[in-house]
Amino acid sequence: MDKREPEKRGGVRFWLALWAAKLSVPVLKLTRHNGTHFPGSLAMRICPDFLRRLSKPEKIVAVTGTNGKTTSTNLICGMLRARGLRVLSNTLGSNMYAGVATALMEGVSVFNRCHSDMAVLEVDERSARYIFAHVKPQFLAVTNITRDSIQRNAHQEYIFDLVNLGISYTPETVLILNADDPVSSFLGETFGGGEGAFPNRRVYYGIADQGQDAFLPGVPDFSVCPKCGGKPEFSYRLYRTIGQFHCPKCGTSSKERDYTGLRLDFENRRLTVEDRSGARFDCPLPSDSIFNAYNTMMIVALFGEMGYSRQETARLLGEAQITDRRFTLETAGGINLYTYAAKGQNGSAISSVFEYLAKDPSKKEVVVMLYEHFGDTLTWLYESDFEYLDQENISKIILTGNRYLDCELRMKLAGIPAEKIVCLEDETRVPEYVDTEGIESVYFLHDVYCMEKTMRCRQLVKKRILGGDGHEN
Amino acid sequence: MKIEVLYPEVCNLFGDLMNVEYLARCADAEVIRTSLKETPRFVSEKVDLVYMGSVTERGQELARDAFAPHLGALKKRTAQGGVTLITGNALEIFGEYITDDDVGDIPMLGLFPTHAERHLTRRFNGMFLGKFEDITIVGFKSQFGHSYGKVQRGLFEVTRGTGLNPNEKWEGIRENNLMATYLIGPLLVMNPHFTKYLLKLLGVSEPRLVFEEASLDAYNQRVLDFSDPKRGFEY
Repeated sequence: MDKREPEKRGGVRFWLALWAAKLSVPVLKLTRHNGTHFPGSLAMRICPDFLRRLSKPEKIVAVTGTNGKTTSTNLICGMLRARGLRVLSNTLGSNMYAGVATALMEGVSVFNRCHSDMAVLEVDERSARYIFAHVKPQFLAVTNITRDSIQRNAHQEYIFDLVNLGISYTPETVLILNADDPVSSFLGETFGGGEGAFPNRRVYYGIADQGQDAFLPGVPDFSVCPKCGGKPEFSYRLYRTIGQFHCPKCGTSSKERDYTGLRLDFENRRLTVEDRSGARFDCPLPSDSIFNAYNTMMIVALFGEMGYSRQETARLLGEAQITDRRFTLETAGGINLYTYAAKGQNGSAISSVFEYLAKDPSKKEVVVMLYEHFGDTLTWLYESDFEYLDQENISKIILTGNRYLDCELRMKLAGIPAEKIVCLEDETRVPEYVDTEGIESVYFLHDVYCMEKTMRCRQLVKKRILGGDGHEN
Repeated sequence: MKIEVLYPEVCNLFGDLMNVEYLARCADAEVIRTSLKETPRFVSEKVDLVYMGSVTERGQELARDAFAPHLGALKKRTAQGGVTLITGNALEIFGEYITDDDVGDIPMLGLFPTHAERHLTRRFNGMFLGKFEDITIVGFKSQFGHSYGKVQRGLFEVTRGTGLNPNEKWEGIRENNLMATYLIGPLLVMNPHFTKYLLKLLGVSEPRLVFEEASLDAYNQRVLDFSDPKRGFEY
């Protein structure tokens, strides 16, 4: 395919596809079906190059990466909408080709006239090559590339190559890259560096050494220099293999940053940023986790490059909220009841959450609700650092979900004392085992497929803590 | 007991390394981690088990180059009954070549009379139920291709799932006590009976597994699950 093929508009098949897709939206609503994927899929079945022919907003931001893309896309959308812009997004739906087509289709009239100011698109890493063949974002922000579900994503090098292939279709796009991620920071170059850097302008963000005692990952996301195969050394890490590295053998090192988080103040939720001009300014942090601090830095860099003033970026960040599909907090009887998305199948993501809650000094119990779906493997259990949960202030770990026995074995191999582990085949019994006294918090870790079960479970725990109908008196 | 893990900096995908950690804990063994830049210890001293796990496609070539000078030592070790375990696509490193859709033929070490056909656009995922002698084996596969060729002896007989390739009724390759399988991840953690067999082969007369009860509970549940004829196996 010619990577610079001009955009085509119209055509009988296109109009049929557009109208059929438009018509399917109210039909799906009437029949109470989720309409975030089907309309785009239908349109592409009628007109395979539907996405190319579809009108798009002038400004498009795409967000990709293994972890944090949903959170970041939601934050970016919220910030832009708070500024009064009409923003199209696929935040509630599929991040693959059909989901992106559905989101963009919703932004045009039946005459294919776009009536939105912007689109902010979450893009699945594997789908980048298909989407960017037809959608040319001004900015592509990348969170990181880490170990992920192996069935689709195999391993990081594979994903790196696929995202790079996508980038090769859109040479004008500015890449906003995480300088502290030794894998994704090399996007826009051939693997291992050297010749063949892409023409895309690249902007790097990251966070300076905070003197944090980052836990060591059992299986690191980065252990070999991509250029020479040597053993890289880190001058510091903020979590997992996110930090600054250099290779003593060939001199390859982390990228120089354009936007640096100089100081993280989690207690007051503030972040001090220095941009490439040396100017320093303060921004609010929407969350107190290090991984969301990186998402925030990515957004600061993106908004800086989009031309927003530092004050405006800070103001908009102050109003931004993390989506409740990822994190929620309720309090009952003085006990904090957190729900946290801890994606099963993704050892890196779940380990980051383990580290976060292990470092929370409160006396706590942890409920792990992970469900195996058809085709899932157990391999991720052994790429995840369950060892992090072996903490004195974690008094109990309750395991449920259909592979609770595998989780139990993994926990025991991780050194968690057997007396702390409760295994429950039936998740509805979880509330019986959560203590209502002597703890300060309960973390409900869930995968993306069991949000409702988790919320129900927390509600029952809340009810048990409060007694009666579960409402605070 | 000494267990040598070859090239853990690249051969570390899919939780495969837990096989070694688990075995070492069961046998109170010393684990030697040999990097790409080092000469494997089994070349010059007695090592009870040599292990290599799943790796990226670029890593396959790094591991091939690092191991090529020591292939003769592995052949000698295998002829003398030395125990070697290879999991995941590390198996392909020991075949004759890999045919890649984009790159063409990539020469490999040629220990096995096989070649792999790699399709980076088609990932094969599947579950596996099979037999090793009278032991039921359960496992997972996630790979970009299969291996083809005339193998004298397979490792696991296929009950359900896919063997070395979709037409092969045996999964993996066995030459004396060298065992290679496409199965990935914590194979030994998931298969307590096979692990005990391996420990006996390594000279442990009455093997006991760490958390044996928990391991058996999870194993029995999985065998039941994988034996369910309604359960899909490949996707």
